[in-house]
Amino acid sequence: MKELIWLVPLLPLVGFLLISLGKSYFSKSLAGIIASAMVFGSFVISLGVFFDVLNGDGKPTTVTLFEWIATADFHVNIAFLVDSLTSIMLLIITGVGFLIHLYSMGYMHDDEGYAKFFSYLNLFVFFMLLLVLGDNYLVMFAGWEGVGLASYLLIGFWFKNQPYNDAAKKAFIVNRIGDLGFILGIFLIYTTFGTIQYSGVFSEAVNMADQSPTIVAITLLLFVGAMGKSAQIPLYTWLPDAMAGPTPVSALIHAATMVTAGVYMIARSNILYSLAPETLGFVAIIGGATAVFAATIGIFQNDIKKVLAYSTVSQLGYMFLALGVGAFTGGVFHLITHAFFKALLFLGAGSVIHAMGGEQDIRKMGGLKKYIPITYMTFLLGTLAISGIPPFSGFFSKDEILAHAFNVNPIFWVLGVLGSMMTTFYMFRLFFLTFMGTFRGTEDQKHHLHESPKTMTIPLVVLSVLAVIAGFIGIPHVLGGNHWLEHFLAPVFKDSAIHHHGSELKVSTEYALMGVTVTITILMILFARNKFVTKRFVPADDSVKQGFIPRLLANKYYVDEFYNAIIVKPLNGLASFSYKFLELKGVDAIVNGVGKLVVFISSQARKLQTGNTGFYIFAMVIGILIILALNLFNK
Amino acid sequence: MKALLLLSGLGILGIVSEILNFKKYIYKLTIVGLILTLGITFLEWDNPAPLQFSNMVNFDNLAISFIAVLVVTAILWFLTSAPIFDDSEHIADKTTLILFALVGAVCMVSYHNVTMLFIGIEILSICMYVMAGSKKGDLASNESSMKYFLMGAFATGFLLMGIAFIYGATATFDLAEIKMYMENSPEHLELVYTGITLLVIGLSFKISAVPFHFWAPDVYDGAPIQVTSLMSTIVKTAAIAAFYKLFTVSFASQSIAWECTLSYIAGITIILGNLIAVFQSSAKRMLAYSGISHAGYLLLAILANNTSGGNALVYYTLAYSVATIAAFAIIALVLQAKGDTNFSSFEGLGKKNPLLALATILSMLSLAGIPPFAGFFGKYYLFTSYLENHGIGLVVVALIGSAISIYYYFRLIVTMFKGESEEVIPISGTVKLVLILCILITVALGIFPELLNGGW
Amino acid sequence: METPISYVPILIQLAVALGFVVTTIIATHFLGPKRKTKKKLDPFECGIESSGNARVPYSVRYFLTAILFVLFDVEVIFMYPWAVNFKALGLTGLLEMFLFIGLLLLGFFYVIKKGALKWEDNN
Repeated sequence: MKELIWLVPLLPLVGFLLISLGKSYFSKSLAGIIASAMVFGSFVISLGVFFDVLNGDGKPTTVTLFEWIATADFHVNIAFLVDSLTSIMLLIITGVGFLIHLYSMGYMHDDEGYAKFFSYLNLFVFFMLLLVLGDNYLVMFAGWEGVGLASYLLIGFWFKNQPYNDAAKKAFIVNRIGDLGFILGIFLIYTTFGTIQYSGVFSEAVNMADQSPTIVAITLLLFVGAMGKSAQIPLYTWLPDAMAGPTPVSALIHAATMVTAGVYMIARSNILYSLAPETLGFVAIIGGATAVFAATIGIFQNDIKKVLAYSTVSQLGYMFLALGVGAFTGGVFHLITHAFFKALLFLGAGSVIHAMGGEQDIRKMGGLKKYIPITYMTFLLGTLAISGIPPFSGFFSKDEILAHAFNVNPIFWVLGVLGSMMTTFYMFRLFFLTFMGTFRGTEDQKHHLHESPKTMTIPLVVLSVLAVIAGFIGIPHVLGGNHWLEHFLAPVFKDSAIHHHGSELKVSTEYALMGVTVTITILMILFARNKFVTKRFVPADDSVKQGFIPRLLANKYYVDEFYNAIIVKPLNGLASFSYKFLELKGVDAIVNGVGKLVVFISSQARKLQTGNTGFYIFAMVIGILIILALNLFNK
Repeated sequence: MKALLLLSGLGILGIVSEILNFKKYIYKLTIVGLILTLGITFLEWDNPAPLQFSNMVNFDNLAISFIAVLVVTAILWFLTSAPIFDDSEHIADKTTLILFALVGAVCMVSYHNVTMLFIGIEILSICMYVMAGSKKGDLASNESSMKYFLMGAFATGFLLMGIAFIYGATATFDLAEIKMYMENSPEHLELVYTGITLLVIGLSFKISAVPFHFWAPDVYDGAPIQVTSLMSTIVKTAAIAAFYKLFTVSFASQSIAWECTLSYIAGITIILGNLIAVFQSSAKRMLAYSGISHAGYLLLAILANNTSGGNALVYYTLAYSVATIAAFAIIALVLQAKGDTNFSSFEGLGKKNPLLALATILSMLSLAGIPPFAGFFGKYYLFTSYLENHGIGLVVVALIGSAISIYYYFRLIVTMFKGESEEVIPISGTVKLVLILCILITVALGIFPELLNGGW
Repeated sequence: METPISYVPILIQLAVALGFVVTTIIATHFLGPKRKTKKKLDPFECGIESSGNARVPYSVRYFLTAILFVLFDVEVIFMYPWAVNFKALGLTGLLEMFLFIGLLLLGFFYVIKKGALKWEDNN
């Protein structure tokens, strides 16, 4: 199937073109069917590619389509690199992508922009596939920018609502900062290695001296890109706002796929990072800090999607923590499991919102268990998975990260466990407030409550199954497994493996760590149950004055306000100065002045053309005399 | 050579058609004949014996290229100019006159003897004097014909005087012999320099360079629009080719005598032509002035004084002619529909006549030298050929001129999308065909500039 | 090499041309006797008081015919050098002259066909 790899991104692109160009010619439902069919087609081919890789010899295959840029010594091909990492990413993108397309057919059913929505979704899938398929940094960057565009379009999908537009712009601009780092990193790679093709870069890099400052600079720049796209401190602020988009978008782009692009990029460049331990340490610190920081904010959010958004930021922090401590497999593992359970949770949240008729505030929900049983069950499974209860998938991936973190530095482990504790707490807070207790909404909403249609519940069920079992691809040795994923990904990370010869954890330590985490998790669940189910505590209304810390957290540490004050306001001031003074008084005045001067001279010069032949001849004679004089004296 | 004979034959056929009463077919016969001529012209590429008729004419590859440009332009022109052949009484007269004008143009691009140059210029000019006044009842047309004739005669005097001086010094009319004389330390320098200066004056008039441009706007404006189109394409191409040939073949080694003068003329022509065009309110007159400024650009190729200048000239004249033919065809349609050629008559064209609007946009962009259209590469090749052995000064002037030109070319484009027009201008099938051809050529030359810049 | 002296011929020519015109105009102005009386300024018409304008327009056909005459007259001049070299030019010369005469005749027929030689107005 590898020879068909070009079809994988092409199909969604065709879908996008078909729908966007032809949406006025065919019926609405056909758009959804086309879009879903295209992604399903890609999924089938991806499966084939996956089995090819599984049965292959572990060597990556490059499929070159055509030469894209050819200048003197800069050549870039549109070429696809197929190896184990790519094939797994393909499966996630097309698989989860397909389920979300299916779900959207129900969720977006009554929206007037139905066809447009699916064309954007297909466009997103195309760019995301390009991102993971590229065999060089430039193609990845093209995909990277493309998903940014699709994300912008989808966050601002309901563009008639100004705050949503603002959220879209914010996402775009914050990402821009990261992209700048990424592209600078690519420039530096090109000037250092003379190529931007992965194979060339990596094989050159291996020969470079350890801890070369150039490599550190490259990896830091690339990480800035990852910070933007994967919402890490300090560039995470756009992701919670991005929840303005339709819920399936949040599930697909802002949970399962796009935001993990940064993780993919670092995993792909693992060899460069392994050569720059300083950067790795930095990545681990940022990741750990983000994991805890976002989790604290999550505790005090009352919007169902906002809670999930902060949870996503926090989980992404986990992945970067994993990468930072050199557990590349662990990072990718968590990426996979997270894709399943977070997509599930978002879709579940969507189903809840659907049932509530658009209400997103969990203080107005409660007792939904009996009205939407399928959503309830699947949501519970997702919550258990994210909390890391064995044997759900989150347990295995999180455990692997924590074990590696402990091995590198116990502080990272403490950070991880803290984050995990809080995650469990706010997820169960969300779960209990939504599904348990009594209904707190209006009578109208109560009558409206209903389970979602089949197209929405089927993806939920499929994802919940995956969220439960996905962990089994990476059962650690201590638990008697043989960590299939690690072996599968080994060819990708083999060069980095040399650089991490840290001692293996003792089996007893590993058991102890597991025990501690699981115990803490269960305690947190019980604590949350006690507070929100037994004591029926409901967070106070926004108008109620609260204590300092809850207020600080509910307002997200005032980070947005801080950024506003130190970056946005001065920039606006500078812009308005530039516009009012430099532009209007300076540039415009000069430009318009020149224009006016030309018109004036023209109006005078045209008076030469009197229409009188005698004058013409006279002028010509004068001209001849001047030419003669010129020749006479100019020698 | 065959092109020359064939075109003359076609012209004679025009007269015969009048006598033998088959003149209603002459229009179609002419087009067929021209296409045939084009084909035959290409067959003469890389002619082993380019000198013909006792060395009077020289059909080398440069001449063949120019002939091809002329004939292509003529075909496009005939296809767009059906209206002036509507008048059945004079159809044969007009066809014949234009065919003979074309014969004159071919002489001017292929001469190898200065007398042939003079004969070519006169054949072309006399036909054009008559054509300018071909709208008999129209006072403006008569006036333009008269002015053209008077001033043309005035300039021809200088031209002949210049030829006489050169003959006086060299005792020959043959280009190669003049060249040899110039290279081997000429004795009668005062005669040579005087002659060259007079030739510069006479030929500058023919290409309407400042300060000998005064005839152009009045004549262009007064003549029937199709004739204006002819004058600003075929006549200009032939004149500049003749100019180029004489100066870069025969007088190349004495460039000191003409370089300075011609540089000033080129610079002033570019600036003044563009400047005055800015203020025009009639599209026809605007194109007349822009034609003057293009003459200034073309002079750069002569100043370049090398073979790449010739290449650039062929490229530029083709790009310019194609865009100009399209522009004039459109103006003619607007004139027919709205009664005048003022900018305001173009309002609403963008919505009602998308093809016209597209052709106008592409022509204007090409004339303004905006990439990736043909005009851009025309200017590019001209400038690079000039820069091969000159400083950047004149190119800067030319670029400033181009910047000014963007103002008035874009003004027409903007006008098309302003306002509303209630009527759709009807376009005949052939004009549509020509417009599409012009669009294709303009775009194709812009995208594949190497097609024509192969060198010879 | 070139010096300003190279341009002396053209300056001389300019001076002669201008000089002739200026001298003539000034000379006639001073040389001619000037006696202006009413009688002298009247148009002379056989003693009868003048009436109407003296400038009666000729028919344009007069000019047309005159020009055509000059045209063909000039063309015929070409036959003189041909006749002088008749033997030397041989058969080629004869054929070329036939072609020339043929084209000339073609022009003649064209003129007739166009009705340029018809004197009566027939419209």
